[in-house]
Amino acid sequence: MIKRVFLCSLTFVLTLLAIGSVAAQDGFVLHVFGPTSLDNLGSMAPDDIQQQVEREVIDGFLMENPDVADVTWDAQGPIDGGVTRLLTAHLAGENMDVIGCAANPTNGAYVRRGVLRDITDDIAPWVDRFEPASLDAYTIGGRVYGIPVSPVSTSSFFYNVEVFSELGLAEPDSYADFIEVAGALDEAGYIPVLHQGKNVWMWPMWYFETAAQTMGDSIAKTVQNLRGEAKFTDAPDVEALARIGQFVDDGILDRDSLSVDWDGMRSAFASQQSAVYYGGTWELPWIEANVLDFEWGVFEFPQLADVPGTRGHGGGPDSGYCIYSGIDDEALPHAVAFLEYLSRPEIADKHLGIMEPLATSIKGVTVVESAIADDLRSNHFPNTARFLDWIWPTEINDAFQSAIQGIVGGTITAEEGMAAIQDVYDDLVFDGYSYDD
Amino acid sequence: MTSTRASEAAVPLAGRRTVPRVYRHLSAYLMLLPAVVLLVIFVIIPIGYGFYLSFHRWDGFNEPVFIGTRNYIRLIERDDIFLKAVSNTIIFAISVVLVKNLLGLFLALLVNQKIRGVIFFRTALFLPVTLSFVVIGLLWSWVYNPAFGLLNAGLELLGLDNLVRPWLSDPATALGAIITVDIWKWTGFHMVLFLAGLQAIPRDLYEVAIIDGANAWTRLRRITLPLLAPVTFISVLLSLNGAFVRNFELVFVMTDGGPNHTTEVVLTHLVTQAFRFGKLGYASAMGFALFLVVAVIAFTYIRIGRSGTYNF
Repeated sequence: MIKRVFLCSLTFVLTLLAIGSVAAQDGFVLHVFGPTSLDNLGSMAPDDIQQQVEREVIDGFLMENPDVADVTWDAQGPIDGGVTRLLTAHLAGENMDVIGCAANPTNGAYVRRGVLRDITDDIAPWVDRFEPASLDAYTIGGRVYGIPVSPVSTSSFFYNVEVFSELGLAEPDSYADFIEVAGALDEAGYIPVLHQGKNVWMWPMWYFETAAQTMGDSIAKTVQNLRGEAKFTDAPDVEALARIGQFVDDGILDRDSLSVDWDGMRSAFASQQSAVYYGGTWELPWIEANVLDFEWGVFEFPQLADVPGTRGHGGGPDSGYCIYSGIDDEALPHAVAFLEYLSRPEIADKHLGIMEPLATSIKGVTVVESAIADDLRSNHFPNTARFLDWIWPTEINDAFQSAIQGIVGGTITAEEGMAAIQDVYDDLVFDGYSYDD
Repeated sequence: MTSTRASEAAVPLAGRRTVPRVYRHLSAYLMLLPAVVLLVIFVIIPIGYGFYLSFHRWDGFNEPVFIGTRNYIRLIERDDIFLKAVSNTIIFAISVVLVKNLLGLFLALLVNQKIRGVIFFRTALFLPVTLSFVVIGLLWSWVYNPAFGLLNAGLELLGLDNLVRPWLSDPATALGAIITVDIWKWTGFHMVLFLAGLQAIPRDLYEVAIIDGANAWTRLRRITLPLLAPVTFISVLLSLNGAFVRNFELVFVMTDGGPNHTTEVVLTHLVTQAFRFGKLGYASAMGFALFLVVAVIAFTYIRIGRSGTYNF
């Protein structure tokens, strides 16, 4: 009997304590919603460090803003499910004040669907903190919809320096060089280039590279296409797609790439099954931490023959923070204060610095110093242009992903692929799409 | 022969107090009410709302705009991927319905024998049914993996190197590879249905047939299959329904409709349109088109079943 009374009393006390702790949380809670797992602060850093820095940054914000009781941070899911997750969260009426907004869906979907608040005036007092080119990635029609808070990326081939040395191969500069290198690697039993083609959203990166060279100014041509002043079926566009197929036909890019995911691509490289892989500079933290058995290096996408343009790698500030258009008046000042806090150089140094960036969207953040970093900064960055999928609507982006799969798989021609993309564009226009709106 | 019913009929009606039918069954209606309320809230109203949306353009963020039948017209006239998805869905449905039922029947006949370890075989064959689509999708993605997958490794071991291929990324094999997995998952379920049917057939029919000199094939044709007809009807109906409306998870996990839409089914296309492109009205129209197709097939099938020898 005494035992029962004791247990009941204990339960009662614990319940009171629990209620008390909830009551202690009384106050405003700021909700940060990340449609994908990459929308965490310092997402490229190892998990334990990332969580520690995130907590440190949030605690600092809470100290400065006593009206805010807590900041909840819900970022999960794969990159290609980000738009879906945001839509379902919106439809379900989830609490969202600040949104982790990668530049790609921000330009392709979020702004067009009215998900984000125009924050041009909100950030005006401290807008100088951002690199202008990075802020451009979040500026649409002259209005700013987000702040870029990210390392600035470019694209590159990562290769096994030791294998190249053993086989007497130099970094390929031209497409002809690349064919020779691929032949030698294949003969030596290596997969020349493996790509993470199962992640379909990574395929357009190849198109950015070929389009920059076949079109000259691929961004201007893309905008013309989206305005209806030119077509995706024009010769330079078709040529850009055809050149990707040529990489497969010439034995450079392995057709099995279609079934390889991110982990598969990386492990094939780390285990020296493949000698080269293609990716963005976001690969650097992983490669530095995991490829320890051999020396690795980087080289640029090769210069194609008989094209009017020169190299143009896709790149830019990949992620940032935006404010939800449905935010209520009470939450707005806290959300703006949070963005202001995150973008302070000394704070950004914490959450961006842990990713060892080559360059960042915020001025004054410490960048990594190494031979590879210098190479990338001095040789790759000057040839870097905005990712085209930051200009394309999501539907066009998806159509490109499918068309490139078809080209790499050898099931469609470049003409058919671009015609399908033009159809998607026509369909968008049929639905009322206008680039300038 | 007397019966309660006959006795009741003998009581003069004039002596009875007539109670309206609805009151006589009041308790039954009351007991049904919670289920009906749930059905209306979670099924009927969403279906009605979906139908309403199918005549609108709605991105989920802004107000729906009425556009009449434009979504339906577009389905037929402008969306080649939808037509491709319909074609793939039909291929998927025909393949899985045929193979799952034939294989299920064959396995049921096998595990209906008195053999040592029959419980183990029944359990092992049923086991895939208990696994989730996501688990199965991932598991088979590894089996099919061109670099380290069991399938290619097995083929190489058998000297069949010419058959080695990237099963899920080769447009020629991708849909077939997914169909195989769906068959693997569900055959055990159909086996159990057929097994229950087989065990309900009286043994003496077989004994008489044996005395009459009927061989195994004749017994199967003349006794087993006719008496399994009701079970076959249900089994085919269930697999038919599943083939059209339960194929999303597997395709989504294994290929997400790729490469280049070669494994796109209506449901994956619908989800892409709704949640990725924010075309919720158009996706609703697609859903109703699929509903119509399934309803017509199911209705036709049930009508044929009813007009046959057996009433269901």
